[in-house]
Amino acid sequence: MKKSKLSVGLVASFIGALALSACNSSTPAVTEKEGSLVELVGYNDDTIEIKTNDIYGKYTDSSEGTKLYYDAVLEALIRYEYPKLELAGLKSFDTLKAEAKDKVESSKETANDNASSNSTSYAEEWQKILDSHDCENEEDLLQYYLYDLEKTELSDWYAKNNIDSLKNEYLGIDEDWGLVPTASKVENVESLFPYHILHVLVTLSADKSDYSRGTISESEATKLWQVVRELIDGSYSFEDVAFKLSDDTGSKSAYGDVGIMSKKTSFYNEFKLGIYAYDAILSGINSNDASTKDIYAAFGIDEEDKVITETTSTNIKEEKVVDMIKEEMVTNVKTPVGAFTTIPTVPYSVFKMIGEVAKDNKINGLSPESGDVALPRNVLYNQFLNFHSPFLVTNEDIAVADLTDFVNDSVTLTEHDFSNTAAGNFYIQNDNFIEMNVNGANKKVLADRNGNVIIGVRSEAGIHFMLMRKSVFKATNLSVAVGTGTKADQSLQDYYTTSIPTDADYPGGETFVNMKTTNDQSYYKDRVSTIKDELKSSNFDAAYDYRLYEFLMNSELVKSKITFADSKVEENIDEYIKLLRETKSVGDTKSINDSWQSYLLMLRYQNSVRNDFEDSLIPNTCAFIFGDSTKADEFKEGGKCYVNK
Amino acid sequence: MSTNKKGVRLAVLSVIALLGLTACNESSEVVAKPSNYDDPIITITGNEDEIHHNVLSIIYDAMRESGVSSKVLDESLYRYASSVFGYYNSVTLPEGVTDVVTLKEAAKDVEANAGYAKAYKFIKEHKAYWYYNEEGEHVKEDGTTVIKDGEDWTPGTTELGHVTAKWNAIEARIAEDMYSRVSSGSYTTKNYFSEKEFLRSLHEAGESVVDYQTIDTFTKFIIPYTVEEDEVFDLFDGYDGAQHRVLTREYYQSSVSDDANAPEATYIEDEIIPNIYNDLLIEQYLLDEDVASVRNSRARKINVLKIEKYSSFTNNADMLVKKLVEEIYALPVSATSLETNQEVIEENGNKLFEKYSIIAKGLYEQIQANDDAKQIVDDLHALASDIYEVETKQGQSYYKSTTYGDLVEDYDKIETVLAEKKFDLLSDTKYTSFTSSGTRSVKEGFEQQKIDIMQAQNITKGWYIQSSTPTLDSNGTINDRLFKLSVANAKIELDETNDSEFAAHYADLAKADRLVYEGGAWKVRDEASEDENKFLCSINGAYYLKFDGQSAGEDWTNDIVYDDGSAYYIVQVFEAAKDAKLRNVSKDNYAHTRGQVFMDEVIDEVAKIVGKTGSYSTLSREHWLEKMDIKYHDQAIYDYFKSNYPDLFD
Repeated sequence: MKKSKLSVGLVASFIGALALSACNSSTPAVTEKEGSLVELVGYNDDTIEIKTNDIYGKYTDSSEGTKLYYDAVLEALIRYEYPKLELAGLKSFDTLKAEAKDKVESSKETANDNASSNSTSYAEEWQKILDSHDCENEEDLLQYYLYDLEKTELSDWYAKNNIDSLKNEYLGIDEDWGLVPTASKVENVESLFPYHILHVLVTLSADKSDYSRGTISESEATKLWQVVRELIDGSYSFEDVAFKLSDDTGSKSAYGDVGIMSKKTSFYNEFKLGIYAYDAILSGINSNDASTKDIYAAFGIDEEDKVITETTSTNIKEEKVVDMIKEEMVTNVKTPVGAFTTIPTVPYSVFKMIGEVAKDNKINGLSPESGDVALPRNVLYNQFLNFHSPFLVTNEDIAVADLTDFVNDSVTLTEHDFSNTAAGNFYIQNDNFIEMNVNGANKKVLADRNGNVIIGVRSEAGIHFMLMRKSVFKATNLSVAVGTGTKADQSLQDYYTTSIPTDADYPGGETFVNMKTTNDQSYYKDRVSTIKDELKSSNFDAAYDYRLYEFLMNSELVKSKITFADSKVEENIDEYIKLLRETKSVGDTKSINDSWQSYLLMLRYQNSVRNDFEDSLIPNTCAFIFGDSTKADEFKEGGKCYVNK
Repeated sequence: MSTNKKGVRLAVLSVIALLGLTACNESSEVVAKPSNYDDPIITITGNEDEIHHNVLSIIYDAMRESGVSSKVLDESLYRYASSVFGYYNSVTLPEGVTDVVTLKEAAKDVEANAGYAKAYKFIKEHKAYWYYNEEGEHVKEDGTTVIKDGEDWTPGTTELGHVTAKWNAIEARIAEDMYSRVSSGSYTTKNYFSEKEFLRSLHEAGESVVDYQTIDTFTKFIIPYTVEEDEVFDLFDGYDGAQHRVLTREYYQSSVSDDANAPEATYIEDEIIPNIYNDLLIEQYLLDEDVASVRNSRARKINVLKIEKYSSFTNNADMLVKKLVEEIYALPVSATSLETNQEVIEENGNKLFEKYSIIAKGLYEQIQANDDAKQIVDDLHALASDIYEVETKQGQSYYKSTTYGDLVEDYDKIETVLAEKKFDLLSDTKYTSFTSSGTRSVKEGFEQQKIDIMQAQNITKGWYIQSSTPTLDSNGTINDRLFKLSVANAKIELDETNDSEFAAHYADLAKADRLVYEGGAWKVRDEASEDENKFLCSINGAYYLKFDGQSAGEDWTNDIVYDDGSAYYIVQVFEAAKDAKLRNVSKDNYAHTRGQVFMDEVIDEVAKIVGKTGSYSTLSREHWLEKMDIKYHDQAIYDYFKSNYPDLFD
């Protein structure tokens, strides 16, 4: 390729010819002096010399200089090693050279074509092509194409041949399905602990910050019940329900699939952190086993991580994140069902009531003086659903024990028999409830047809019904039992396979790739691309692009044989890569810690609003007496079901 | 990459061509090459073949085309500044530079007061520290004997003072610069500052600081508003009763550590010193080329207390300001105790205003902890029972009708309603203010607002110039009066080192003072003397700005109080500079009355402020580049300078 001084010289000569009038001095403005860039007269009439080696040395030590060196060293390594590498699946050097020659010939043809179409000469167009690649001649262009092909081929080969180890790093697990302890990970590369989540969203117009007196519309109430009813019904798949009913336009057409949710994905805190909290803590992985610390770390929580909850001028109060999760997502969540010990639950019949009375703004000609907030759908929404942490849906019917007791406001719960075909009973031939231990008792909770538990959560968008198609823990040796059903678990490596079903090494079973069954192979290929892109993403390893450099530097071809012209350069590049990874890692940890902090403080306030104000929530009983003319006064000013909103 | 480089190159050269700026020798471009320009980037043992493109020239050419020229410009300015002021310390010495005395060594030598060998050598090599007369001639300590070129001399007190003052100024600026980097709030959560976060951010940016992961002694604390910018490395008493430092200097500059094995950290030398030297160069330009802009800037060093008269506090404010005026006029304890030491006057003034600031805020605990403040409050309460009346609510004692008292009462109201658990409270504006719209508890909201009151700035102090004034009263009256020339004339400087002059000045001061010693006792003059300055008065050696009328009552002595309708202001003037006080050789200059170091420090402060106004930064750079008379040994650098500073090449 061209030496830049020549190109500058040529252009400068041309410019000089146009500007000869400026040259009337016999003293040249620029003179040569060995090892010196400029000399200047100091304040004390001393001479100060800015030396060439000093300035270039400083540049070399800077991050910009390090990048320049990195590019050049990588090029030298590839050019040196490629012809000598004997790697299965890598195109031979001769093949690439032939391809490069073809590209040169093709460029000549392009020059010919352009000369014809632009009414210029071949020489002119050929020069343009050379210039565009900063090349001087044909041999230069050949070398340019050759390096480009070598680099691309080697990068692709590296990604393909290291897919398993990359995937393990990405997944944060080892070959035995165990979670990789933080200390054993590649230095400062953050595993992303991906989840594969599907969801159905029912958008709500209720104010996201109103934790006790929100109002939802008739259509939203209807939609909530429609979604839950179909999720219960075993004749529909979760994917079908999402495709048909979800309000999330982004994932609806993908059957509810939100793609791979990693630690870096920007989802609502309720969605992402809600899943983490459910999986790691609420579902019981908080035992004192040796891996606990790493489980927390997987979710960006160190056991010792604290949230600054209060400060005074003399004291700072910090609380552990893990303690606050349990406190604000379980202990302090109270609904008419009662208090919880593992995870809040919502009876399916709440959705049923909300949906069935959605349009009943007036019953028997009666309407509440408080307006919509005292309508049954909103009373139930606020009492049972308006909290921003995960919940499970049970198969229970609710009833109010005493329609005059607005203070205790308690409900009775009975399991619903969906198989009972008796008239008036809500009958479903095959329901999707599975049994699991919740809050110290065996309960039936809503799952999909495959036995994957469905997790509900209220976010600022509305209510999500989330399906954890693949939890990062579900297939590890941590034996997370919650909601796994009875089917055999696919390994994480196989789940995130980079083969398509027609490939010989495709693992079969449930994978990220085959979420949808189709004859369209391009669908599977797109899914594989999604996984590969994730693995190559700088989100995963900020210094991913440097892995090829590290690989080549560690090759036997150069190991212990390579010497850098400037001894600092190798150290600088290594330090640069290390810092890049470390900075990203620490920054990402801080980012997720900040998310936990804001989420938990919001939940604390939410629970305070719902629990600390006795008239914050309209009694649940009001939903059951609405329309009863004998109880009409309760909905007027001064009544138990009246609020000034 | 290559294409882009070429595009930039062509564009730059095209511009040069249009301006007719090309170098005259077109036949071959001069390129300054590093000594290993043609060496291979890497060599591999046993390899005989040439690796295409494996030559350092590829990298050096790319550097030359992208950033080398701007680095040469920066380096030229920094090296030039080092030539002016001397290298800061041994860490900042360029490679190959030896046998020089650094500023640090010279300053330590002056401090050691033992022969000054290093200081003398340093001064002789740096004419910025020489003593000049008004004609710009280098003079001996007597201020008149001109030292001829080549003549040897022994630097005197003035020149040694210049060294000490410059060192002190740079040390103060290091602290101020570091303070400005942590005061953005980026490293503070709920008012608690974390040095760890700051250090981490620098570490991640690749700066040379101690690795934060090796330190396990970090704590979080509130930085009290009383911690000055130049105290960022000093220990202070925290609100929590413990002592803290905002920053630990050794983490950023290992050269100040006593531990020879301290981990290397050169952040201050790498990043802060070049910035400071750049600023100093601007200021040196002012002093060399436009000294009038410094001398005539009407610089004032002030201390202003503002006591707001908001609705519930109006009565307390009236009483408080009267009490303050009374205290200012408190009579000296003996016949010779008229205070003349400006440092003591400043310290007393700061303490006085700080005390009244705490009282104005009504911070019960702080008042109780300060005997003087408590006595004042008790005295006021004795005058009228509803003034500074103590009350206790929610376990918090407070003085009614004060900022803090109002806060406690609001807190009590909210807590009372909160106890009733009435939902309507949630929409109460005070409730949302306490909870910051639902992000904290009411209790914490109270504590945060209490901290806000503690940290509120009722006092404005420091150096200001007429063209860059602080925002004080709503009418601009203080600024109008503060920068009158007359203020500087009225501020009498005392020469405590000269007995006879001191006596004369003391007599002047005593004559001008509102406290007079007559008939064996001190008293306040019956009324202002006819020849008293219209803008400034002296009370027990301290100077206060005067206003028309008597804001705080009918007594004429209250004319030191300004009332803009919503607040009272009292302005203490510590220093009021003028041309004569800042001239190098003058009987009336600060050096003469207050010492050379003091004068240099004033000039440094004033030049620093003036240098940040107008276009001095650009003018200074052009000036120094011209002075440098640069010889170029690389065409790209020449082109860069010519393109950016065309006037230099006219």
